[in-house]
Amino acid sequence: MEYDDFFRAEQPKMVVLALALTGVPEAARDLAQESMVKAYRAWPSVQQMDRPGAWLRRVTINASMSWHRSHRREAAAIARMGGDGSTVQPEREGQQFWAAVRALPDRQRAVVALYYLEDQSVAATAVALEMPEGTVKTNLRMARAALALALGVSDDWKGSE
Amino acid sequence: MTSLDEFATMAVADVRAEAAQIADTEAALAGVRSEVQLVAAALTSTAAAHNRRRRFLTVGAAAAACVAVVVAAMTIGGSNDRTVRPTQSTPTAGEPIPSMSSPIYDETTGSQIVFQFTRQWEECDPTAYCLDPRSSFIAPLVTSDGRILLGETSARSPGWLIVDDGNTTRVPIDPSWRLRDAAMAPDDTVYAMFTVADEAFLYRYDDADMSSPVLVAGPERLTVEDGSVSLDTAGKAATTKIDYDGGMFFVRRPMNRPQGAQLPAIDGDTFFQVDFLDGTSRQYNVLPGGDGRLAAPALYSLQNAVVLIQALQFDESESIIVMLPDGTMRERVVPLLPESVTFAQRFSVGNEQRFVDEGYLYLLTAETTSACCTSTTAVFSVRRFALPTADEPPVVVPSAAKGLVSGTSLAGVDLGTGFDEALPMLQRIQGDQYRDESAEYTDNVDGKWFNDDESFSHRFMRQLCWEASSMVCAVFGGESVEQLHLVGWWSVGGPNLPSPVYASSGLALGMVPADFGIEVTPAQGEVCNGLGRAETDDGIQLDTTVIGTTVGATPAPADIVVTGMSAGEIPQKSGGDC
Repeated sequence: MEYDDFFRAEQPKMVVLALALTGVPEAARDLAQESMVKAYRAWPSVQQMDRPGAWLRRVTINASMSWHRSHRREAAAIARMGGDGSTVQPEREGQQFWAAVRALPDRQRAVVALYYLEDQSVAATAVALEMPEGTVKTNLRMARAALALALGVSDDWKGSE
Repeated sequence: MTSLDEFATMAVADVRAEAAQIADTEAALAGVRSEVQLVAAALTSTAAAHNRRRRFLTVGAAAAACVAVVVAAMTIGGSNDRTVRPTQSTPTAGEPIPSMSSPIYDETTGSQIVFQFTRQWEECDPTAYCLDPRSSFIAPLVTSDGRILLGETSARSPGWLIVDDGNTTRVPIDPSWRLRDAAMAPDDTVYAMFTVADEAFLYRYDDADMSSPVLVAGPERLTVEDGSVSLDTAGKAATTKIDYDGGMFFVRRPMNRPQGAQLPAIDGDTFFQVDFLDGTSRQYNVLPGGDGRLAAPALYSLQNAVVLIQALQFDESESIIVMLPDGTMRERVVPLLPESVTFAQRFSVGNEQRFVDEGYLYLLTAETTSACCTSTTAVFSVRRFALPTADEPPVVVPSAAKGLVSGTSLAGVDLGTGFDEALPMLQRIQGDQYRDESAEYTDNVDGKWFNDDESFSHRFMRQLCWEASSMVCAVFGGESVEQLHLVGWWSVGGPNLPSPVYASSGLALGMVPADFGIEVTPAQGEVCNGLGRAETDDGIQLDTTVIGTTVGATPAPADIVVTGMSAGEIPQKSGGDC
């Protein structure tokens, strides 16, 4: 596979993934770009991977998590200095969903994002995140319970997907 | 009511639409190319940092080696008032690591690098960093913007050296505090462990701002529990911090290691217990072999894994083992370095002789003693080995795993193993059994054997038990005493006792099955109230009980804990209610 093909197939997905994980369009664009640059620099070895897309997702997720932590510190600093340190309140239901996702612990956030955004199965999510399937299911179950509670919706997932 | 999946579907469409407005693919692709070209041309960012890191790595080794040569240096008239002064030069693209003689560094094959250590600043090569040979230094950290951080652990004047484009600043550390180790998370957060007297403290420096430490954890969490284990950095015997995916965790090596010993031996029950800061923990068993030993330093941190280096004396090989967060391990065997070089402490290459990055293990070794100790020049060789990756098959569960069990094995011994073969293996791992019972079942009904008390799937049974905090038993069965083989195992324990067994997932006695995604089926019958059964993915049968819930109420999953684990064929008591 050529890098250009890889890029055209994956970059839009990475923007979506980063946007879901950060909620900030500018950050999403930058993080996706950062991931694609990493892939470009390491292309000879990335190209050889069985699942370069899974690697790219991990890179993007890790970058988004780092951004999240850094942003959290920034918000805390603003709060200490007298600001409210809060982010913009979500307006649409879709935004509410992702805001609730971003409130989850790191691992659950990553699992939920991959599971929903890319219609991935538990098995594929496990591969992308280098987790056992059981761990994915556990995280997914816990995440869904938290999301259902936060959003006031029902959840009848059995975890057998 | 809207279901969560309906909500999610809507949210996915929403975020995709929003992303479509900002994902200009062609512009971004052009941006990637221009950014990479810019990097290559200007030697900024990663390339420069990597270059400097490599250079610093070698200098780090040099600095450590200087500690060893300082005595010799002093005896031939070394100055007593040296200070730290960095180079003013900046490497250019493609330039090898600077050295006094022909500088060679072949990334593919790994080749010799030559350093010069001097006693006077004036003698120092202008293209090399020069460090106070009386100090020890912990491994360099390189921030995402290319700054290099180095912890100086000098007893007289500890501090942080921050090298930024050739300019160095120094942040002193209270001399009563001993800097033990440091690591950097991917977001440039630096964690450092200090000790004061015998107490350990973990501090955090946000954004690598070394002037603003924040206490993360104190001695209540970091206290060394085993008095026989020291906190010395040379062997990192007791408590080592590791950066992990932006977080931190601690490694305890509960081995008997006399203070000051250089090479801790691995015995049958050595394991690494990793305590994550979020409260979870996982155990990694080292590979089997009482003859094995750890090459110091044994542990390295990566963003997503722990790397362990284990030297095996018998086959003259050395393993690179990557321990992954899911509890699995991958291994690659590499040629053993000459022992006299690798482990000779007189070189004091110490912590700098090995370096691991995300893809490779680098080994730095001094090649001759004379070059090290009688002159100011030391010759090092560098070799590089690719780390095993997650694509490689997992390491088979080591037989040295004292308590590791599965649906088909006990402590690494597979079900089906003959008694005579299994017994010494189990004794090597578990020690001598404290109970040894035999039984013969006299009545055969539909292929199952019975006696007055219990039933079994074989006519003859022998059961060996070990008692640690709780009990674990190996069950042997066969059609004759001569045909006994391992057919099952079982273990029971109270919810508050440390478990003698654990599954590869980390599940053990006293734990909550729901935490592992395991559903428990309640036992039927009033006298069985609160009891339950479950099975793990790998075939381990679980017995459970309820804690903290009023009898009769539906227990919360978090209130159900494992009280028994078993697998294979074990004797069944007759007339059991549950």
